[in-house]
Amino acid sequence: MENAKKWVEDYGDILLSYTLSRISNSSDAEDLVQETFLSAYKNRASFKGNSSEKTWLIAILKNKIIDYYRKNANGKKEFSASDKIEDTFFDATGHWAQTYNQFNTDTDAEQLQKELLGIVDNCKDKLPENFKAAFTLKYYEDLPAAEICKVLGISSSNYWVLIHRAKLVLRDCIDKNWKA
Amino acid sequence: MLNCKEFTLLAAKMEEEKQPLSVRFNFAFHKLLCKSCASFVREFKFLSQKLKLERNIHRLTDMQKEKIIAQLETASAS
Repeated sequence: MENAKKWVEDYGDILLSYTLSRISNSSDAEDLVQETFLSAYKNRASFKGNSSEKTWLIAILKNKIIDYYRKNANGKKEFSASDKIEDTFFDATGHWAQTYNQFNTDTDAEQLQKELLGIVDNCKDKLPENFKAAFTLKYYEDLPAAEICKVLGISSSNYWVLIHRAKLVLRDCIDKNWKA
Repeated sequence: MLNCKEFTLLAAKMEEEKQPLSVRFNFAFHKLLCKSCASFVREFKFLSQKLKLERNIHRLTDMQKEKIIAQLETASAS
């Protein structure tokens, strides 16, 4: 198959990078890239050329990533009411417990942005699995809340609590690691 | 008036769902008075734009590439 080598050369790294920014397990990421190429090959007749090959491949991969989170969410307990992570960040009156060090969002410098995104990716990978799933599907995949609830099998109220906690923990990790 | 804990919980909902006027007013009022919460919103707005950007930073090894190519060739032969 003459296209196989070219496909893998042209898009392999792009698909792997896309996957690894969303899934931290490198072996699972490699499997998803492989499955994406196989699905694309089997369904190549459906590619009409309305978008670029890259966009088409990423659309296939995106669905595989969502399925990956769906499968991993199956049967997992959400979180218990006693998981009061918020108490680490807020005092008894509900105000920030510690001085809030804002990070610089005004930078257009490519290198700084790259460094920051690298830190965010690492911090995201350290989140508990259910936080990571909700956060990734919202902020990386841009899925709406209702869709994420379906994928993860959680209620809307649990979803907002998950996202809230994920943002607080992630923000704290960025604060500890980003010094620009 | 909202406290910071309530505000940050509401911030995620505000990114996606239109809230009643009274809620939006309380949200805006708190944001005006609280620099930390205003930063929290600004930072996640910034991240939500940047996190979707393509990052071509990982490379398949030659062995991984060969494995995928071999699988595609097998699929093509069957």
